[in-house]
Amino acid sequence: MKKTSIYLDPDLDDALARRAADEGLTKAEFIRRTLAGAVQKPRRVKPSVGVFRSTDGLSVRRDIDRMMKGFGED
Amino acid sequence: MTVVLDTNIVVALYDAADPDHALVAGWIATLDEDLVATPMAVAEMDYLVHLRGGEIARDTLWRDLEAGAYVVRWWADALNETLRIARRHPFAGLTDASLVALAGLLRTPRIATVDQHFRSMTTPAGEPFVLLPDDA
Repeated sequence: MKKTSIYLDPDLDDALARRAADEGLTKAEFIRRTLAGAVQKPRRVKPSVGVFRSTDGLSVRRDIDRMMKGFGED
Repeated sequence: MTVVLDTNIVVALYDAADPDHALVAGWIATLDEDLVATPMAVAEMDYLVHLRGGEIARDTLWRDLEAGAYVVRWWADALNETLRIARRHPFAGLTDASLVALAGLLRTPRIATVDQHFRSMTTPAGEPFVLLPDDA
């Protein structure tokens, strides 16, 4: 493992020690696990594409105000 | 990094006949950042996707939301910040104002939109917006 030194506020240092003790871990191990979780890249879900095909020739760039007529009226 | 997400991008992405569909779909395919919207924008997405694409399209939006394809953020001071921005830009409306507030929260000038009104606004930090995919 690579050794790294960082400065911590005393309050944060105390809180880390308490949380580590609560979980039965050394402070170093708790910090390692926390950092590993923080840098893990979540799998990004891609949104759906081409779900329908409109037939009225409207463009969301040009005609959004027309499309939004009636919003909130139901 | 995150990108603020406007309603119109989802409509262009879902509607294969929209003139911006290919542009938006191509940009989303290469995107490796979270798309983040406010609940106000999600309400507009829900309305427009249902109106234009019907029940199945709306169900797809709900599933995309559920799966985390779009992130939705609202926070303690969101309404006050949204109202403050809306009063400064009355033409924008509450939804756009909420997206400007969100850009402030996320500290990003990057917004996914084809709405050129955002060019006349700045982020709460005073930066001009980068409109995606137009400015990509």
